Amino acid sequence: MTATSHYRFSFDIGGTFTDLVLYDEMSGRLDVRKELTDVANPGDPIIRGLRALLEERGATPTDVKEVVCGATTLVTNLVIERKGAPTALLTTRGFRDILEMRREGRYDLYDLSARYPAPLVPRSCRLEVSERMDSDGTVVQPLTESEVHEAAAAIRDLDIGSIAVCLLHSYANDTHEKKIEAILREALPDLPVSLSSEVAPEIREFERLSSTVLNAYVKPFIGSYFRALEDELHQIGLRARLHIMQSNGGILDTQEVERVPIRLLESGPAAGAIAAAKFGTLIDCPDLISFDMGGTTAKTCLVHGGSPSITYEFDTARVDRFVKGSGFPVRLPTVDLIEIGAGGGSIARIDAMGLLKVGPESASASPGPACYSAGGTEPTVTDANLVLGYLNPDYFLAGRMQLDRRKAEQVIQERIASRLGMSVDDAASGIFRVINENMANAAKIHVAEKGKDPRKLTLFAFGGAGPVHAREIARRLGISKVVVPLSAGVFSALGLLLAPLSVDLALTHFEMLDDMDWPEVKAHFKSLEDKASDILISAGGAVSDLALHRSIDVRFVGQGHELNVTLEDSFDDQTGNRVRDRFNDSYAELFGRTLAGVPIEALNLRLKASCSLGEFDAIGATTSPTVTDESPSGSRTVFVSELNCHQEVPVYDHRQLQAGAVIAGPAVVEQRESTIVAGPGDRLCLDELRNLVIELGGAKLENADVA
Amino acid sequence: MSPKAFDAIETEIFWARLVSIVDEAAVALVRTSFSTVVRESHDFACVLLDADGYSLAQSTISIPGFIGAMPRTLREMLKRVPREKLEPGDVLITNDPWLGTGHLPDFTVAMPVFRESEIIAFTCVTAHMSDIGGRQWSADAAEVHEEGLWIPVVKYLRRGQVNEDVHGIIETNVRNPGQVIGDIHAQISAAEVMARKLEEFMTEAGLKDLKLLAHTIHEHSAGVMAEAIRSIPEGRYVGETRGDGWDEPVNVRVAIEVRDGRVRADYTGTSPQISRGINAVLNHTFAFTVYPFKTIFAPHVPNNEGLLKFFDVYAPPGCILNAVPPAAVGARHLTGHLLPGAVYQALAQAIPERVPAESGTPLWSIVFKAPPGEKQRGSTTVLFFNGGIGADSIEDGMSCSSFPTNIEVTPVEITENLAPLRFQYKRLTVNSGGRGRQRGGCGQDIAIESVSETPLSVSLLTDRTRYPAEGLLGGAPGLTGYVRKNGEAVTEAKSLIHLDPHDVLEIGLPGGGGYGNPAERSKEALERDIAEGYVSE
Repeated sequence: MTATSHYRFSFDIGGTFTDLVLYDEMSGRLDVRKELTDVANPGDPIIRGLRALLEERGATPTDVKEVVCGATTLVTNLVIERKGAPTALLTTRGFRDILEMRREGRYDLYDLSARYPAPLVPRSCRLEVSERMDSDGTVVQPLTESEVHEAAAAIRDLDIGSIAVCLLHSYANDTHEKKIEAILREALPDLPVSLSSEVAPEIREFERLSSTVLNAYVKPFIGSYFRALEDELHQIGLRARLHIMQSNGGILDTQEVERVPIRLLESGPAAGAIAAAKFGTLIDCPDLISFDMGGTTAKTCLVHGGSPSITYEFDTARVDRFVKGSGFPVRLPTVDLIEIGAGGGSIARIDAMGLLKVGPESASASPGPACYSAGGTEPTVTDANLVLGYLNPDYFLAGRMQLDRRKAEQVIQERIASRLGMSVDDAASGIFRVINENMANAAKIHVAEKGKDPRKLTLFAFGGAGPVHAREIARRLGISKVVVPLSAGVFSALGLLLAPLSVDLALTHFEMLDDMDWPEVKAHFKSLEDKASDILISAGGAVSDLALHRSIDVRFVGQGHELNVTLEDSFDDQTGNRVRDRFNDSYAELFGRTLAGVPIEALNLRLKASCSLGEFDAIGATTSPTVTDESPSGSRTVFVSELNCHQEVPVYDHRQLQAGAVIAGPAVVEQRESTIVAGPGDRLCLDELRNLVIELGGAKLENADVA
Repeated sequence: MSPKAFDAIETEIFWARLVSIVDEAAVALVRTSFSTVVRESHDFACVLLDADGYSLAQSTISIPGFIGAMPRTLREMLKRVPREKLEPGDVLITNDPWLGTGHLPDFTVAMPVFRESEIIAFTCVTAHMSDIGGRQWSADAAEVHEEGLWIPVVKYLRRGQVNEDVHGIIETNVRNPGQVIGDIHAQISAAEVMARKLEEFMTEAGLKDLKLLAHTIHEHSAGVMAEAIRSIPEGRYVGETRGDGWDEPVNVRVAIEVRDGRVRADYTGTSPQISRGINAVLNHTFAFTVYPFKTIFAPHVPNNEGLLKFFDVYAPPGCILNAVPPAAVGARHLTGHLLPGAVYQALAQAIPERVPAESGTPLWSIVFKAPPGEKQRGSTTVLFFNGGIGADSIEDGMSCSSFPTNIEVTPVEITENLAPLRFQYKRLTVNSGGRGRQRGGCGQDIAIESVSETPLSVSLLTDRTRYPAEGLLGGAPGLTGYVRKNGEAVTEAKSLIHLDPHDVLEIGLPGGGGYGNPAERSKEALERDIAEGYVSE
């Protein structure tokens, strides 16, 4: 890298498209490009796109100082499609079936056909060794090493590509797992070994086991995938290191990602939430709902105090994508999003009861909505939006795709309107209202679960379809302010460039809060910190920038779930009391009240270490606008929800609008990859970052549309 | 608003909104409840009912034992406290097992919603309390009075003010009054959330009452169920199953009569009630009789009265499924969980392709109690275990899964941290799933050693140790369960036993029944079973 290397480059490998973003730190210019994803040769579209982007700027690969990869669906798809490595599992004798027995619940109470995904390791590849730890890490039964050798021999006879090891209570004492690893490395040097005490050293055997098995299953593939990608990028002269987005909202280098690849699970949507949080902080809206609606799904994430909410439990590779708990659980810190089966491609249909349903089935990118003229024969949300005038048939994806309004009308007429005995407009508005209702109801529950009041939040909308629906979602949640960034359609890819290097480490320390040995806790943290800083430094971070956040999971004795409470940098005799106070405060905030006199116990210690790879001050600045005109660029007829009729409204081009511009609704504001719809009484203005801020008018906010 | 019919879009949006309202109330309840079974196992229900006491929407997450109970509870409450005696701010409460869900720990609160001085709806919440006084949870109480405090239908709030008399009685009679009173208030908060959101919705939608909307929702749901019932050939179908019972087995006999679009389930011929805590009340019987129908015919239609209007459930008074006071009912689920199997078995004669074989039910619970004064964390530990589910015409049954209820188990590592117990193994039982064209789900073997320094008293709430989950259409039964102490069979598997230090309790959970002729099982499936060790040969 040279003094002239001032470009940051990110790419997001999606199922259909690979989105690429090139950001010029000096000018603040942001260039965006979409290439078709090539599953067999994923590097090809990236290199093609990067070359094109650099060419436009007259730059070369050596001018790039940072590369960030968002591998949205890579790891998840590997698991869903069962294309990972054949994996063997070693457990404590008597417990290999926990992988299959799970927690013994069902994720759907009524649907008897609801099945969990089959375990990634079949029973015949689950081997047992004699050993036992106590819950405090005391050895109850020493490891019978000869059995490990026998297991190694058995594995050699099976067609195995990776090994997972998960022993009971290994979070408390990892010596048996380490010993097994040593024996296996010697006996089977070519097979990668994933230890539960390294992947997810937390109490709860099934969740730790599930995390470890997932890790082992994807490890061989992910490692070679990123090594090959990095090589390809270096071959064209790129000298920057490759960093990869993780599900916790931070980035890491390829080596570390290869060690614990499940950190990439569900990392895709995290970038959008990170970007929304960052923008929210810059525009003084630290409490918001990030709302990202694309072609297949909508994701919402609660951002509080400038940080996306984090969960320590999620599940991946779900049998039913929108049903929590129908996949494999993973114990890793993850940006806490809900995903709703609502996108531009969501299909509208009449159900068995004669009611209009929209989603979660999607026409996806192929064949796509009927108006794409690519063979789609089902009416979708995008078709409805086109009929309602929200989309410009001649300016979809900045004119790169022509939409056929006649086809949209026809399919809505045939499939919906004629069957319900209503006009095409009414049917289209019905599709629009039902999908909005679905998203708003899901968001309401999500916000309620966090103990927050949506009326105090801002809705930050992006994704191709987000800005079209944002205002209607806001109305249903009682939110009065909506913000849409300038490049809403590729906002997630921008988020990749805003993420810090970060790593989360944890260990279980199960003890009553009153009995906690804080010097010992301090020593535990010291070991986590040393490990974290090694990881970050080798990933390219500077030790001087290291930010550490220590926290502890605590709960009332007898309850099943814990809350994560922040710890200060120093420990003293008051630490326990402060933890208790903070726990009581967050408990009261979340659950409405707290319990007096119930003892508190601690479970896990958590460390988040992060460091920035450079500030990103100029995110608002973009290509300099040529015209400074607030007059509309045109007008068209759109359906106005409140008036329940079509009306001629002015159309503006977001890119032509300057900071400070004010527009009165109803209006449509177009972007390259998205469209913003504002209603009567709304006031739109551009803030200093040229985000469009919509202040919703009208007294009736909540439920306004149901009349 | 003129009573014009709602169109397909309005109906969809309004209905979804009502479900969203009850789900938001459920979130409020889960957030504010002290009861771990409410939080972890969703042992609760939030229900919105119309002015006549018919349910419109029920929270999405609630267990089957609560289906259809609430409207009956509310209507009984209104017989005792007539609606003209209700004022805004009043809240009725009861834990009467015969009016409610069938045992004392479940409290039901009901709140009238007024609009222009008319009652237009009721919001009701049932939830399991963390304690209700009485003896340690077990199956061997002789009568309900041993099982705890019994509160008839009373006003807990009068015009928003707490009824101090009732409050005092509850506070005095439970072990952890702070939590129990807190839980009752959590229920009231949830009922208030529902009422408030309902009023907002009605104002915005311009609705003066819920009559037309209730009618629309009920008709749409009824349409689905009516069509489903039409798909069952008319006739009378008898199903029988047998549980361990106590001294005598419990015989369940159900005659399901499908006629003129209605379904009548008659339990005449079922064993009489006994002087132990496994008796069920009719509401509980109703819930576990309609649950199997919902699983077959309308798994994805939100619960409401429209789905249930075609069902009549009868059990003669004094039967173990319609026990009369003062029958003990604390472990009613040991009997109630047998019912879906009997219903499926009856229906198998009419619609064999659509029903599963019997499951290794019920949910087993083992309660370990350290003597008072023992310095251990968690002096009482309740562990849950599940057997295998019955196979159906398409798939093998799931191994070790909760059915018909849905209770997740506590991890071994958490249990060993909290209780003086050490698991020696927890593994699938080979050959426990009933053979068939589709195989029943496997049960499990567990061995737990007491590492306590003092003896532990242990209540066993188990079943199917003598009578297996039967197969269907030629499928073989699953393996029965067992309870052993230090290798010796415990003959009374519902009793209270003692574990001395280092004693080992071994339990085996029953497997699910098989479906179809075992000879028709595919070669691949059979080979896979053997290769993976689900079957030994």
